[in-house]
Amino acid sequence: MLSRRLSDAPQADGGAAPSPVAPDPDAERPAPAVADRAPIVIPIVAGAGSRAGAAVGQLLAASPPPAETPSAQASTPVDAVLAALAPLAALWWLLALRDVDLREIGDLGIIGVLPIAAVPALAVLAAGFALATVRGRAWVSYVYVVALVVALYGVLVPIEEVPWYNVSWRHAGVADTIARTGEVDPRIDAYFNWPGFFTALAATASFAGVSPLVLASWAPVVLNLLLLPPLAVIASRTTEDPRVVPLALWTFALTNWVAQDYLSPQAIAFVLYLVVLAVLLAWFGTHGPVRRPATARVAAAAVVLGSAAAVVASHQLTPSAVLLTTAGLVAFRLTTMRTLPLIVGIAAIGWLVVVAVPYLAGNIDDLRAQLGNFSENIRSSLGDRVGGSSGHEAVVRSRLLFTGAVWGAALAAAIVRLRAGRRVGALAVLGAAPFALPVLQPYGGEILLRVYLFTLPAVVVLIASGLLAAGGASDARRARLALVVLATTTVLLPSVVFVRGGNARQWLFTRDEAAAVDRLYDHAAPGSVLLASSPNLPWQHRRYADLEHLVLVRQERQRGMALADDVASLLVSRGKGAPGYVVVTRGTLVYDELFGVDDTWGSARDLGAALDRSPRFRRVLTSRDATVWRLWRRQ
Amino acid sequence: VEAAVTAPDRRPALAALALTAVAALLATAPPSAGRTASVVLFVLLGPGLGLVGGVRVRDGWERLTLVIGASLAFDLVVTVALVYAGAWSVTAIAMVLGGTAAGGAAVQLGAARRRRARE
Repeated sequence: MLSRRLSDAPQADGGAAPSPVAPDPDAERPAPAVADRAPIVIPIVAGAGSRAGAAVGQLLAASPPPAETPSAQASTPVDAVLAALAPLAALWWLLALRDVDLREIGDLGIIGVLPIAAVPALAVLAAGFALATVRGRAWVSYVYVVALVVALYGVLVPIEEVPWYNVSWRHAGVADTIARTGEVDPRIDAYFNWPGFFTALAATASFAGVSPLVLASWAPVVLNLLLLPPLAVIASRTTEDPRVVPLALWTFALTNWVAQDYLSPQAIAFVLYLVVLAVLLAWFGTHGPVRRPATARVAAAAVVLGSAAAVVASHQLTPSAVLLTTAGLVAFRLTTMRTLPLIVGIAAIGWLVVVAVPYLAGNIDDLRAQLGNFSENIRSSLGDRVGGSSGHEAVVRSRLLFTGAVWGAALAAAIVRLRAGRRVGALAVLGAAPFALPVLQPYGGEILLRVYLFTLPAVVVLIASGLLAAGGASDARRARLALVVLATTTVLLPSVVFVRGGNARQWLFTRDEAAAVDRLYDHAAPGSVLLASSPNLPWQHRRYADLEHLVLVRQERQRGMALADDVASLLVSRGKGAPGYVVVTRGTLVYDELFGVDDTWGSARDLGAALDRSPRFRRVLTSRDATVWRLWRRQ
Repeated sequence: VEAAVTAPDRRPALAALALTAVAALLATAPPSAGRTASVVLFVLLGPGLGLVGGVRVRDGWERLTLVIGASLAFDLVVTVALVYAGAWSVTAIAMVLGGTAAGGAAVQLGAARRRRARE
């Protein structure tokens, strides 16, 4: 088989103000952060008696203890200045990145083109958060978390010429199709068998009067901000020290490298996954039960069930993660909502056999073969992804190292908690259950990425708890805590910029590429077949269903003219008389350079050369970053 | 055992009404970053504020978690239900989501008023 239908692929696919969200002086768990109860002086720093030492001590110190001063919880001007620095640093970072030319991005991604002027912004964020942590001002810490999310997850916005990532373009096309037709045809592809996210995206874009694609650029920022509340609830309900919460959120922003937060079903499903877990632990947990009004419990149960239903209707894999994790919580008697796993299981299977029938019919053999094939499913996620150019291989190996280090740190922190006699039950379940996912399927070679993502809530809480243990809880050790937090951030911040942004060269497209594809869409007759050498181009954002989009696979061994003839035959057979086009863009060339070419038909460049020599094709569009050929002679 | 009950808080209801009003006012304006931002904020928070904003929870993170979960779940379930029912209509969806946010807010404000009158 010379081609596959692109969309048939699996989805590759504290202090003064207790909370910035709803300041409430009568907080439910009023225990102040340890730092809030600390004396002003920090002996380890201020002990030297020097002016500099005293100044640093003043900066690190929190307000006097509440027992002595009723206004101990009041913010000081220092807190306000510290908080104001965070958004300024994020803005500075984003402005500095405006000077980056996406064409200069190499195989190492963002880190290779990072302007020197941007680096101080990260230093301000790192130092500011460390100070906020030891001063015990949770609300200041939360300001830093939000600023970090904006800076890290909005990093591509100042650089991109058009919305990033080809899969976002494809997802926009699915939503566009639903908005235009008002229908969901499950025969089109897998997306139309789990359309929940796409119907909501279609409605949102229609309300705004824009293409769904417009929502893609800032999606990672918005989606990561949505993750913070449920993550904060999980952190507060699984640990004893309230300082863990902001530190866990900070760690999350520094370790969520897997980039599953683009405009996608899995991103929204992950938010709902965290909502389910957070509400289970807070409203239906068995540890430290909170007396809630019956109406509140009914509302919380409705949110859990509604979220689970939305997940089932939106994504293939996430219901399995919900099922596994909630079953673990039930098995270890950590939740009173014992029927939830059963409900989720029945709903997921019911959806598969009643609604997603076309998908099931076309993939049942593959699904059956993959079920239980743990080692093969892991191998496809691991070994098969290491390769490509030396730069890209360095990025992939660094990701594996980063992932292993994060999991290792969480495991070490869990051991420390156990030795200290602290509970780890819910965290252990949340961290371990996702490792069963590879038993089900390889998920297009992405299952380990997803396992990492689903373990991250427990992992970041454990690491945050471990950092506080390493920093020491005593008032005399605040400087040590500041150093621990600062050192950790100093290691993780550039690391996550590197491993997360390592694919930036692939993700970013030029205006010229997008304009070429749009011109093709403006002229192609309905039913036309469009073929590219790889999926890496800004297409499918419109005319998703009335044009056929194909990608060459590496099974064809022909080269040169023979390759051109094979491509022509493919276009004729798939087009059934409709025009056929071949598209080579800068993005497809970059894809070959990053991921490598093999000994079959060669590269996008080879394909273009073959089409130029073939009498059966003619160039119909040539621009700086794109070339389009039309099949001219069908025989 | 902790007590999680708080006095009625009108802020969620007022926020729901504000989000709904701004999104509705901008609905007929030309597409712009402001209109897009108001719509996204409404979709992410509006229905949830209307549905569960009245749930009395002291912890801000817990309240926000309920609101976000309720909003996203409601958005997704309503749009999926309408498309499978063959009743896809942007106006109908807007009416359901807006009506839920504004209607829920009105119920919350009424309940808060009655409670204050009793006290």
